[in-house]
Amino acid sequence: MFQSISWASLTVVALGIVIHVCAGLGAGQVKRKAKRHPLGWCGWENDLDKLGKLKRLAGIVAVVSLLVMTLTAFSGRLIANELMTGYALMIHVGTAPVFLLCAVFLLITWAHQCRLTEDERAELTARLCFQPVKAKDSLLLIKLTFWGAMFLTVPACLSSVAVMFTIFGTHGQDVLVGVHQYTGLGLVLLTIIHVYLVLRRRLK
Amino acid sequence: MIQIIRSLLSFTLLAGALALGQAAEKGKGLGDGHDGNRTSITHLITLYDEAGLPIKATDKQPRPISMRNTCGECHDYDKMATGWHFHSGTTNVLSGRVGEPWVLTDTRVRTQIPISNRDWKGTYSPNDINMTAWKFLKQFSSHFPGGNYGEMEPSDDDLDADPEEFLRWPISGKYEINCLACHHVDRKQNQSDAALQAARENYRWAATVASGLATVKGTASELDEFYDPETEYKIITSYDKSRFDSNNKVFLDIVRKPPSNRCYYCHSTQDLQTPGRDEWVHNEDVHLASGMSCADCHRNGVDHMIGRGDIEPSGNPHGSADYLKNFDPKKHASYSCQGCHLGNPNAENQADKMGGHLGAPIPEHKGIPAVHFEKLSCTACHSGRLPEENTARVRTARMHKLGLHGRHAMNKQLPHVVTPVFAKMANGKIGPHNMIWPSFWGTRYQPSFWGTKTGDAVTPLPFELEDMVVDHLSEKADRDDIESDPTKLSDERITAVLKLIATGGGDQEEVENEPPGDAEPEAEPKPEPVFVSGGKLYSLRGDALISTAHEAADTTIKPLAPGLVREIAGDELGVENENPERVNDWIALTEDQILNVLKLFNDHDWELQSWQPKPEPVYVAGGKLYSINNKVLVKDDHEAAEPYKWPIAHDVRPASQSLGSNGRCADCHDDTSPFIFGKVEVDTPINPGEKQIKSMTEFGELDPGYYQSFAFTFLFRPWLKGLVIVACAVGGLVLLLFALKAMDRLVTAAGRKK
Repeated sequence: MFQSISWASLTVVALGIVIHVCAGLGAGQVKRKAKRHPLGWCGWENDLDKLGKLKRLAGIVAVVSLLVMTLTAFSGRLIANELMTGYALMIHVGTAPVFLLCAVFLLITWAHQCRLTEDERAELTARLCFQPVKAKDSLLLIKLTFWGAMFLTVPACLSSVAVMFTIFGTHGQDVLVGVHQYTGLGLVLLTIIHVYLVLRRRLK
Repeated sequence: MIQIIRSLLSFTLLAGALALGQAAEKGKGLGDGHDGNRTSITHLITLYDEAGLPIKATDKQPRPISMRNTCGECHDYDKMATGWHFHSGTTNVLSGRVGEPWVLTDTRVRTQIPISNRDWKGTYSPNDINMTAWKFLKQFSSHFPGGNYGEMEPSDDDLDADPEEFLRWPISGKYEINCLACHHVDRKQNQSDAALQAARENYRWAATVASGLATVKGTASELDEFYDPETEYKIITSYDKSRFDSNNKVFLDIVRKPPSNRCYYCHSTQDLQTPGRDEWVHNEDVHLASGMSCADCHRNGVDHMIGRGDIEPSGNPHGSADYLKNFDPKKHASYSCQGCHLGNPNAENQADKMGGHLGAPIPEHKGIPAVHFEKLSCTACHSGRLPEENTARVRTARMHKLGLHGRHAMNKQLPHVVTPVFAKMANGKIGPHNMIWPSFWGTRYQPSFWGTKTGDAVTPLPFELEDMVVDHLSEKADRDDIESDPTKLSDERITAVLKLIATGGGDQEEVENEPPGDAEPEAEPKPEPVFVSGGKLYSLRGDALISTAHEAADTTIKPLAPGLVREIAGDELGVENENPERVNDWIALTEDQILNVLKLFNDHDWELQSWQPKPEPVYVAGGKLYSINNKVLVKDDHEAAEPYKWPIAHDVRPASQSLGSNGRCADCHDDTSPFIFGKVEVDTPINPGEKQIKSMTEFGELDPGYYQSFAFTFLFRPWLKGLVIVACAVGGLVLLLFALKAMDRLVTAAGRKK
């Protein structure tokens, strides 16, 4: 079941991104600026202060560690529907605290910036009511995926730690593994969309 | 007149015999049903002897009880004889899950050979070491349920039978299935007495004496070979007359479900870490301690195919269709560990699906990730001895003849049974095993025999046909062949012999010209004559000789019977030494001795047919195979030298003493955990005083590097838990803060609207 859901959702997101990229190319929206910092794609600028640099660095580390965890968790599951074991499990568990620390740091430092403005709230309301909106350069989706990913990070991490305590029996363990799997999948999907939108915006 | 009386008498006798036969047939299985009443059935019964005659208290020369005739009066004896305990005497028995074999030991010739007719890898069939039914009984009848080998008396026309054994069987009698050994709950039932009678070759008397109904004087093994048991009474059976009522019936306290005390006689295990005076410190299996009995889980029907507790609801680990026919895994699965404690999802009724039989608690396994249940059997954590740095040794009742009281008590140390060894089981899960390292003198040879092939099974020719082949080859021997290499027969010669076998020694034309009406159209496929030699199987396709690869032609290692070894190499092995260094245990063997003994075997004049190559002598011990190469002793790893191990499930420890209970992950995931990194003893008579070990990871097929790394991560696990909890708390607070802010906005916005 989880294997099928994972395949379906990852395929939908990947197709969505491809279609979105193609649509953007057709509209001639992608432009490249002439001079950019080598790490400009992640928002790195020469005049950043220390905290700013740290925030971007944390972002990169968080994404890379999430990528490692995604590969270790989903490679066996998607191909052979096997649970993670062996070295893959060790790498997965070893990377998790790095991701979590970076994610919490990002949450603390970016949360304020990611609040919805009046315009974005209006846009969100309009979108929820299926009304047409003019939202050129809107950050709404980027912010929403940020909050979504952050909200999913907490249960994903807590569920993996909870199984290590002698609180939950076999049934509880199964539920926790399910929670971890599905929140993890959601986290990965939202992060993919978020990173895509951020990169797309940066590379304009 | 006399003629008429004679005729009438004959007729009456015949009618009587027929009536008796019909009555017996009618009564067959009468007591095997169950009308639903749970009251025990009172067994106030008539005892019958071997001839089917009732035994009376007043008999002057009473005979011992025959179980076949006494129990068989109401129960289907032959049906019961199909059960696990009684059907192992033939070579086509069901294998079943790997189990404890018989072990033939001989300290003087440094031998311990696992013996079984079941197709368990690492065991050898009694036939392999020329062990006849008689010899089998001589070796193993101290802990023997009767039946199978006990009733394999050679028939009058059995040309292969040993003449001495042929004469001894009628004196000793058959060792029939001893029903009372299990079902007689009288405290007088004493299997040690049965063992004593068996040691005296009083097989016919074993069950009677063990039941406490009679005493026996006399020893069959001391009687002359020409003793006539029908007319002479040198073995005297004296029944306790007070046990007979006025109708010559005897009350036997028989129960359907045997008490554990009966099972223990053959199925006890002694922990050698605390033997003798400290036996009292041991606990029983937790199930028995709670008041259950073995038969509560190990159940059976009339066929006595007792549940072996290993069937998992989802599969048949035996991989045998025959097994499924005789053993309904769905029913038995409901009484396995999983069936009782977790339920059997494949069961047909709701109660079995729910589990909890006999009040079995459903475990929660708190803190144990589900992956453990995919990799480990229940027994891995719950059964056997708690693992320590080094494996321990145990003795088992059958192997070490435990439970023999009085003068015939033994103190056998061999075989050395190593436990617990955590190894992969047939279903791919890791479980605890008992293990022995085989040690024996043997021969390595490429099989070379004439035989027949039916389907994929190749069977050697019976003796009379083989004699015909020998005669044919000696008559028409090609002198050139014999002078160059007698074992190499020309293709023409092989073809001729195969044709001869096909005709059964008759004239082929005659066979072919038989009228078609005489042939049975529905007959089974005719066995195809074959010759196995030089690693190939030769057969005929039309008139052409073809050779193919076949497992029957693969190089084989077979043990030599200890008796033969004593005969050939007794002096070199010090068989006659009256004061060995160790009593009932390994006597040290040096590599020089091995070389010398192997040379003696090499020089031995083996009884071989002209087409059979000379076998290569080998010695197997401590996981190595020793052989001579260029007059030098060499040792190699070999499949035949691998240890024989069988999964164990008892004693089950209490939950609190199970591995990993209460979150003790370090029980297994510590870098010194005996479960993974334990040291397994390599048992060998070569330098037996020196400690030789192998890593437990080899048996569990585990990657030690990975498990060391994994154990290392457990050092950081508390930190990981703390870090994740703190980080999640901080992140959660931030999320809560912004969630509340968002809520504030929402409430404010909603409040502004009229």
